[in-house]
Order: sequence, then C-alpha cells, then structure tokens
Amino acid sequence: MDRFNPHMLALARDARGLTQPDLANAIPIGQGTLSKYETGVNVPPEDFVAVVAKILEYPRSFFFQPDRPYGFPPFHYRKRKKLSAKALGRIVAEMNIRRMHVRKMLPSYPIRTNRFIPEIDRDEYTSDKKGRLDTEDVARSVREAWMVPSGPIENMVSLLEENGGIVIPCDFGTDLLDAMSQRIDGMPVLFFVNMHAPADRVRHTLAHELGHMVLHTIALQDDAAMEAEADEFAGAFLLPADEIRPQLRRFDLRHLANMKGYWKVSMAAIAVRADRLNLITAYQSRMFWMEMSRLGYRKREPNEPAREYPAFLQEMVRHFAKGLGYTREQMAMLLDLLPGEFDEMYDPEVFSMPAPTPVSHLRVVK
Amino acid sequence: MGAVMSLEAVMSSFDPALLDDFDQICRLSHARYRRYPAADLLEHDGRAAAACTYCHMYEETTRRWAERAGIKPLDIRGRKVWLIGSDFVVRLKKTDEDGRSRNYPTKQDMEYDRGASLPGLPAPAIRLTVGYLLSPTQTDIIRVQVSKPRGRVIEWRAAIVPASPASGGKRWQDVTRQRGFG
Repeated sequence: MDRFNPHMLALARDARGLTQPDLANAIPIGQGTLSKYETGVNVPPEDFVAVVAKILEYPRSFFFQPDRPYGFPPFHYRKRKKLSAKALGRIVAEMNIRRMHVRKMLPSYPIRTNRFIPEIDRDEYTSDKKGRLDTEDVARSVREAWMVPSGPIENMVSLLEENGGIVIPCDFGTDLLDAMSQRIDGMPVLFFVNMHAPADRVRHTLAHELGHMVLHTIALQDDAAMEAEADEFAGAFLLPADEIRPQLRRFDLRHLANMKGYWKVSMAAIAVRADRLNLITAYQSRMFWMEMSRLGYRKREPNEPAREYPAFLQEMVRHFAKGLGYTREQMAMLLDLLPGEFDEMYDPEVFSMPAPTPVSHLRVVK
Repeated sequence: MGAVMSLEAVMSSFDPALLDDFDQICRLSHARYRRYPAADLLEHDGRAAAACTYCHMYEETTRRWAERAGIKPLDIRGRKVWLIGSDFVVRLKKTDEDGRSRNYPTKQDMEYDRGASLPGLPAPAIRLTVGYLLSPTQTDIIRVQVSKPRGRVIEWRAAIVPASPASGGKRWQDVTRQRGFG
C-alpha cells in the first residue's frame, strides 16, 4: 500500500510557486490543516489528495513517491539571499523533481562512460605551491584527466555529460541564478542550468559549477571564498594561462571580441582572467569596464557563441521511447507527471521519430 | 577640382540598385572576413582585418560591375576607383563615423580628397568614398555610408538604408555631423 509522502505535498506546492496560505485558500481549508499534512503530523484523507492533485496539476501518484527532497546546495549563499522565498522554493522544487526523474530513469539506462567528475580533498591535495590549493593546478589536472586538448573547449555541456555529469535545462524564472549543481551518492553529478542565460554565460557558469563540484564537495569553506575559488577555476579551465598569455599582448575590444570568438567565453570573463593573471594594468581594467558599461555590454555582450544543448536527458527519454517501448503516457506515468507537463519538460517528438538503426560494434573475425 | 553638388543631388542621382550594391559589397565582404577561422582572426590586427576585407570588397565589386553599363574601373597609380557615369568616382574604404579612413593618407590620397587633378581621373567627376562603419568590437557593420571629402574635411555623408519593407522606400539618410551652437 502506497503511503502519502508529506514532502511531496510541499514540493508540489513550491513547484507551482504557491505559499501555504495560497494553497489553503484555493482548496479551501485552514492553513493549519495544510501545515499538518505537509509536516506529516496528520495524514490527509483521499479526497484531499484528489483535490490538491487537481489544483497543483500533478497526478495523484506524485504525492505517494517515496523520495525525499534535497535542499539548496551549500554554496551560492549570496545569490540565495537575494532570491525571494517563493522563487527559491520554486527553484529547489524544480531541481528536486528533475533529480527524481533522473533517478527513476537511470536503472533502465545504460551509462556509457566510466569517467567521473573528480572531487578534491584539500587536506590531501599536493601542489607545487606549498600550503595552498592552487586552482590553476586543479583546473589543469581536470583538463588532463579528461584528455581535453589544448585550445578552447568546444562544447562545455557535452564535456560534462561525457565525463559523468548530466546537464539539466531549467527555467528558474529569475536571472539571479544561472546554474546549480548537486552531487548525490549513487547518481551522476547533476548540473541544473538556466537555459535563458546567454550562451557564453552558460559555459562559464557550468565551468564555475564544475569548480564547486571538484573543490567543494568534501570540505566546505566560507561562501565568498568558495565563490571566488569556483570562479578562478572556471577561468583557468576555460582559458588556460599558458595559452592566453601570449594572446593578451593586445587588449582592446576588437581583440577581445576575436578572443571571444575563439574561446567562446565572454569578453568580460577574458578581462577578469587577464586581470587575475596580471596581464593588464589596473588602468586598463578600469577603462575596459567603463567602456563595457557605456556600450551596454555588461548586461548582454554581442557575438554570443552558438548555444550548447544538453543531450543526456533527451537521450534517456529517447531510450525509453524507442528502446524500451514506452508510450508518452507511460513516460508521464513513470515520472509522475501529467502528459501535458511531460511534453513541456521533454521533447515529445521522440515518440514519433523512427527508431535508430541498431549498429553492430563488434564481430568475430575468423 | 570636382564639381559642386549637394548631398541630396548626389544621392538622389544614384540608381537604388547601385546603392544596394554599395551596401551589399561592404556587408558581404565583411561577413566573409568574419567567417575566417577564429584562430586566424585572433592573429589579425585592425590593419590586417581592413586589408583582408578590402580585398574581398574589391573582388566582389569587380564581379558585380564587370558587365554593368556606365561603370568603369580605373587604376590610378595603384589606387583602385570606379567611374560611375561621368559624374562620380568612388573608392571603397573602411571609415570612421565621420566617413574618414583611419590610415595615414598617402600624397595621392590627399590629392584625391582635395579633388586635385590626377592622371587618368576625369577632373569634373565628384570624388566619393563608399565606406563601412564597424561596431566597437569591429565584428558587425553599423552602416554603409557615402561620404564626400574635401581635403581634410568631410563635406557630407549619407548612410545607405538597406532595402527592406521597414525602410519605407527611403534609400539613404543624411548622417552628416551637425555643428554645435556658438
């Protein structure tokens, strides 16, 4: 017999951006009653579940999932402070729902890589610079471990997905947060990314999140220090020092735009990197930011690189549709969604596409 | 010295198809340059970028106007210009907002701008510069413009309005820098 999961009630409410009083008024019941259902003090009757499922537009089964929601990752504290409780609740809910989807699909999906996203134990990490973890060194090690050739990273999203991550496109409904990442035992590292952000920012943000996953999984630090380190890591990962140093002999908008075209990283990120590496003077840096403000480029830069789209999640859905014979309705049922919302979250066209021709990889040679 | 004609008189006398050509020559050539591999663009300075774009502009112009009646290419001691009818001579340049080319002008350039007589160039023809103005990052064309130099001064300049339904039939716009009061 399924048991009602109070966490799922709160999760569904948060996902719809509703507060307790909002939902209580919509049902209508007293907020106290709703609160007791959400905290598990009381078990709601079956007719309540039917009503709330209708209001929140989830199937009844959603509220009986045995999973538990995870909170906000320990970093992004400053960003979290700026977000309203409602926005924060919605984002965390979306993250959890997406994670639950991945967890449900993973057992039937063969993962084709044994690569992984490393995590560094600061106490055991040895670097050339004594007594201090060097993010440049860590970024170089990760590039080496993943056999990334020198030069620009062609596709940051694919790189993460090829190395044990899953990039999940999300709509956070705010531009205060571009991405979040989560490392949970027994699952690939999940990167939730706001796909409405400019493509160069998405790349940098993913590298920043990778920095958190590599540097801050085992030991946490002060939030500002973690953010600075993740940012340094992103710069070093996307723009290796030994390669950009000779390129930054010139420092003007024209050259930065060309560098952006090559590295697929924003001009702003290149300037920050140049500043960190002491390749430009304080005056050059100041003039650059003044010019960027004057031209309105601090909000949106020109020459956005091509957008990178996650494929892993879509591949999973395709595998279920074509490899395992799931219908759209069965997929929605598996993920505890109504078919309409399933269509919004995943590409329903995979169900009408022809099945891929099986390719034989190996054969016996006599 | 070249004949005196107002901006309106000059721009109105151009066939709209010719204005389209000016616009397209600059835009296609710049777009072609921007399609160079990113690693190559990275090694070019502004001078190399302008030189490459110019080469594409020259070839594009030659292709477009090879069979065009009333347009004649001229080579004045290495300076490539086109005689349009008998009234105008145009050259192609990368220009700044005012319609000036940024590089250090040669003696011949200065004479061209002054309207001085040059061997092989019909004296009464009005000398014009068809130029393109780039965005601050020099990755996009802001506008293609026709300017009329007179010595070091730019007498007037007109932006070509690219042909589109939104242009409402207007093909050029006066963008001459206005003098301040006082």
